[in-house]
Amino acid sequence: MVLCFIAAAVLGILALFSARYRPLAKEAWNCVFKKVTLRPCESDLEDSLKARTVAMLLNASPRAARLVNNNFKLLSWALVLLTLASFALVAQGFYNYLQYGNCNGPLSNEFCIFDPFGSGKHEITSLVAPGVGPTTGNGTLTLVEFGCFSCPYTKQAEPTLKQLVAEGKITLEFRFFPLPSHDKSRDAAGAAACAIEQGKFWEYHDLLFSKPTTGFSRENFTAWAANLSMDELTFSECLSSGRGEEIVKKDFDAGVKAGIYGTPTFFTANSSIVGPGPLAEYFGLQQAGGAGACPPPRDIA
Amino acid sequence: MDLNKIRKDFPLLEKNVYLDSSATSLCPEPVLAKTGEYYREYKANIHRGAHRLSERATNEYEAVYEKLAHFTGGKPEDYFHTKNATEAINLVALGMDWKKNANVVTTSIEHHSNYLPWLRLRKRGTLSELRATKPHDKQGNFDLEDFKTQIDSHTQLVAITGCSNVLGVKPPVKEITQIAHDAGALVLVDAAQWAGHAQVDFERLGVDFAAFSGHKMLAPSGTGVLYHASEFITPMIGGGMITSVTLDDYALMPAPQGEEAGTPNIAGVIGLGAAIDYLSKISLAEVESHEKQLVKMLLEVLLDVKADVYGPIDASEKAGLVAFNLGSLPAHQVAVMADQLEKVCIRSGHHCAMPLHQALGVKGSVRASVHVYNNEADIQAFSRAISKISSLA
Repeated sequence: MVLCFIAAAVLGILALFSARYRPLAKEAWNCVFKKVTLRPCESDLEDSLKARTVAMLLNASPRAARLVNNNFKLLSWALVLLTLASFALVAQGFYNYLQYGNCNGPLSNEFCIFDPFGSGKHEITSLVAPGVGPTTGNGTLTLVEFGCFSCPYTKQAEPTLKQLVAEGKITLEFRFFPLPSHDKSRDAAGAAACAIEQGKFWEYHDLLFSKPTTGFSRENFTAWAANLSMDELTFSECLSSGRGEEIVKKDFDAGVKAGIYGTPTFFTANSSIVGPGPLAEYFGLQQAGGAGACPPPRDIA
Repeated sequence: MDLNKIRKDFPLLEKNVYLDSSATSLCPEPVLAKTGEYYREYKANIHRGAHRLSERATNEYEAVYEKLAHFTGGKPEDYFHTKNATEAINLVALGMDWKKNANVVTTSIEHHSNYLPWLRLRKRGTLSELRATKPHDKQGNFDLEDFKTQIDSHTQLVAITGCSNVLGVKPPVKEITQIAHDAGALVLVDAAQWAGHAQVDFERLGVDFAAFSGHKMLAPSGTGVLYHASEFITPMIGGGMITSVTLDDYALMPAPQGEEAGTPNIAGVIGLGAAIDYLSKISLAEVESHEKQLVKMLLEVLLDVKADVYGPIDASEKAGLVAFNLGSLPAHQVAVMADQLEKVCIRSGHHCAMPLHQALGVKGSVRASVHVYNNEADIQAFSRAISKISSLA
């Protein structure tokens, strides 16, 4: 009778589109209802489904038909477990969609069935105050940047930021927001966080943006730190201890809480700016780089 | 017998391999036409109107009594119409004047229709006992000696099948009737799997009651027949059967009209008459011989795949049906797969004969049954399906 449950779900969906499946779906639901209400279900549904499946296979492969016929109970259980797992994943996806605007989790840019056209939940829910991350420049306007070292849009914002810092218009504060979908972005953020300990964050930050992301590896992170005259042992120990990771995690959580949906995201005291294009616009500069941000739109993933 | 011509009368056979005639048979075009003719040309109630339509309907309906008398023996007034054999048997159970301490002797191979009415009478205390003879051997052949030991002076009725709907065996009704009558008992024969498949004459057999279904012999659904040579009091009474009624009394018309309460299934009965005409034209001897040929082929197929066949494995001893199982494969699964693989319609389950299946030690069986319209190609399709399915067993 275990098959009644899976049949009710599968046939229920098929019955929405085809009248052919409606009698079977009705029988399956009736069986499920009886089971749930602890009444006996004397339906032939399981035998019918088994017979139909095995008969189909008999024409194609008698061996496969025998296998299914002899192990139908086992296969039924496997299908039930897979169905339950699918339901759990759908539920998780739905939760993610409601919570983050994407069924694949915060900041994923994978296809989401609940949001096929990627309209998603694109809304910064709260502003982030400065005073946590490393800073550079001495402008009166403090700009808090949430960036990812693997994100091409974060990289594209760099010339604008450097210009604004050089002109004394801003004080730039960096917060880590490594995108989960970007390979090694979290490791790179952790390495950069370790550079803070040795007062070399901004040098290391610039260096990471100058390197191709394909070169992101622990060996290279350590070698690049040595190149910047950082103490190699201390740096390695920081990486191993997870101290850098801890800083990154705190930043990331703060970003998620603020509703960040793409990098780079900038916060002033009373506004948020997403992407290098809007940043340039905000400061009345010529637009640098693309108009988007990571992860949306999806084509830059 | 021109089988190709016959098959053209059954449009359902174009797309189906129908081997489930023991459950219900198909209707040929002449039967469908005759039934439709009533609705299209003279739909009126019988025995009630003076107008032309009613007169024609009455004539067509009453002609069927005559046809029945020619078809299965006896006089036209010995017959009356029911909706099926089950109803006919129940009418006897409810209409007989049961004596004190009466018992009924039956067999363990009966269809529920010829067992439950008696079982209920026993449970209600109307009967002192219900005795069931056991099948004599593995093939289910009837044991006359065992039967003789069951019958006694309190046996008021012997209710026996004329042909088992599972085993396909035909108990020796004539001998049984003789023994029963010698002991003072009446005999009812369930001829549902017999009438329309072979020549049978209830009067010559000497039985007191016989029941059969029209829908199993090419007639429309909802048609059955009760033959009764013995006096019988119908348990149902009402319109269409009286000569006079006062507030204190009534007088019934003579049989058969005085036995059928209310408006009957007029179209169905007229269709039954057409089915009798159809079978009589072919001849029941031809039908029986044809069915035996097909059953022989069915048995060959099944024995070839080492199926468990119930009942005789000699076609000459078997009616037009074969019940079987393929190893441990559930009967229902086999039937569904046969339909899926070759569009072969066969029956699965206990075939309303649970006590028999209990005696056989199985939950159910698969049954293939034939009628006059089946041909060798049908058996070949059955063979292809069974060969594939048996590879799973």
